[in-house]
Amino acid sequence: MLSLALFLAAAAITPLFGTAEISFRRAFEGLSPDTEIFFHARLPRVLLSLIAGGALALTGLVFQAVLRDPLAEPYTLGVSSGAAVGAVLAICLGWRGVGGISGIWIAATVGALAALSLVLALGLEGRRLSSFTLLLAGVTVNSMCLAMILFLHNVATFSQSFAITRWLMGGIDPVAYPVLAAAAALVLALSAILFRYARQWNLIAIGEDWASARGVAASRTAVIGYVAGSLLTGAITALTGPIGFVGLIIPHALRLRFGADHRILAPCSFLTGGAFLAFCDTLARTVLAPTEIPVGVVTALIGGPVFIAILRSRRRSLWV
Amino acid sequence: MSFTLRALRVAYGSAEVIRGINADFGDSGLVALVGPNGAGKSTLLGAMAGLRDYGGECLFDGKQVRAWSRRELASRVSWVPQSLHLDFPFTAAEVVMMGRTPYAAGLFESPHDAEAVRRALRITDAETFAARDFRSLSGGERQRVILAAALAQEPRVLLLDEPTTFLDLRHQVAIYSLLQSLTRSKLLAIAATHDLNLALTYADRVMALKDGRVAGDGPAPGVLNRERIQEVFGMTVEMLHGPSGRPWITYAP
Repeated sequence: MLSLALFLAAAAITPLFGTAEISFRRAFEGLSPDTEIFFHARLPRVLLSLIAGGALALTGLVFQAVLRDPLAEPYTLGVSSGAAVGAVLAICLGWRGVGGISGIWIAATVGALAALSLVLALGLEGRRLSSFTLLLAGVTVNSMCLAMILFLHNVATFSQSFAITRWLMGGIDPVAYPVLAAAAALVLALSAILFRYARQWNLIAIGEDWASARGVAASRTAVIGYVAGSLLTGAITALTGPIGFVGLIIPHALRLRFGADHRILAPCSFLTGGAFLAFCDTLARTVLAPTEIPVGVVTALIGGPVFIAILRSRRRSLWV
Repeated sequence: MSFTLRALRVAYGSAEVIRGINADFGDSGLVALVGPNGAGKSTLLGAMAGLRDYGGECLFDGKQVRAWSRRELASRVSWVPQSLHLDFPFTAAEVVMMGRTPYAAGLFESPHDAEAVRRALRITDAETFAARDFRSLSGGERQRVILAAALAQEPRVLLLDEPTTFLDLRHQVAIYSLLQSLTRSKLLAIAATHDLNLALTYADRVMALKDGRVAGDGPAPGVLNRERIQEVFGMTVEMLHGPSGRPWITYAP
């Protein structure tokens, strides 16, 4: 309930703040330029940050359960570095995309899917998927992708190099409504799949044998988690670039408050994650106005200290 | 007849751990599975629970274990690990509630499930710490919670991997007495154990494993004699008679 209130409050309040002074009466009466600023710059950006934050926090929660690693996050399986290689390649080649869809988005999506397929293929041992091998495969793919990004960055021109750095820092830009609607539909559909298995995540978080002996098709369910979570992350990362910490700290903060039941944690993570990112993005837009800070920087600056605080309180409450 | 094993083999890579086991198990009774470390006790239980790939026949109700659906098998057979390592703050009651997974189709459990959990917590004497974080419990308390989870599953067969290793004396006796009374009818329990005296006192049948083969199988006093223990464990023991006239195994290091 608290999470829902937070989510709705973030949705209601954050669009009210911005760099430009606008009048809401003028905006709703359809007068220029207030209408454009509110409906075409601010609102889509807030909506995107709400679904992006929700998707990242939910994926982080599920990955931590399925990999049985409290430090797992949406990018653990190499999705964001794959997306980054795609995006950086598109920037270096100056690819504009097809049919009005940005080349960076397409390339990032393809990169994310390629990285995910590679990691899953490496993690497959016979018919079983080993979470330990998956983690190692993720680390390997992440560092290989990083090397490729460094190489591309090195051969890029000055302006390309600036675009690359900017993309890698993660940022939420206003997107057109059709793109937003498509992203929202995808995020909601994939999130619904992850919610449906909330009870199974509880058992898998304890162990694969434990879950199997209690009637859960553990390997198959884990694969559903990996794929749905990675598609969520891939879709969001293609639009926003990598945004760290949301997927890591939101689930941990909620576990301190609500315990470990994923039937509570999953919806709460989505709502709180969305609210958190919308809040961070508002800070990013307004603190140093008119200069904007990349939202990835804000989440890291807020998320880092919060995570340290969680770790410390966790030590006190038997969480080691 | 519940389980029928014929030429059962289990290997981890090239290391063969179970090397051809034949055995039949009925629908009730307490069976103690004994043997030195590495004899294959846990692996045998894992194969019977459908958690390990195996060769040969491992039949439950006449059907290969691997052919059963997970959920169908889990509503009949419960596997109880020695311990659990948790990374997340589940309460003891939440862990026990997981035993109800095979029965609930939806996202949430029914009042009937909650009742089964309460009953299981009561008979394992785990009610007092049901609301606590599982990770804050002692080894013995954890084992009682894990056993409660298995009982909440309402199985016909319990496969227990050393269920009393971490328990204090009173609870060791309490758990084995509980298993003994539960297995008088309609429940088969197969428990791997290192405590030969508990096996001798409570088990209806003892199965001794050595190097992945059956080294003895039958009523407890017949299997756990001086010669067999020497052969299986490589230890010389003395057989005493306890106050009630029951045999008692003792040894000098």
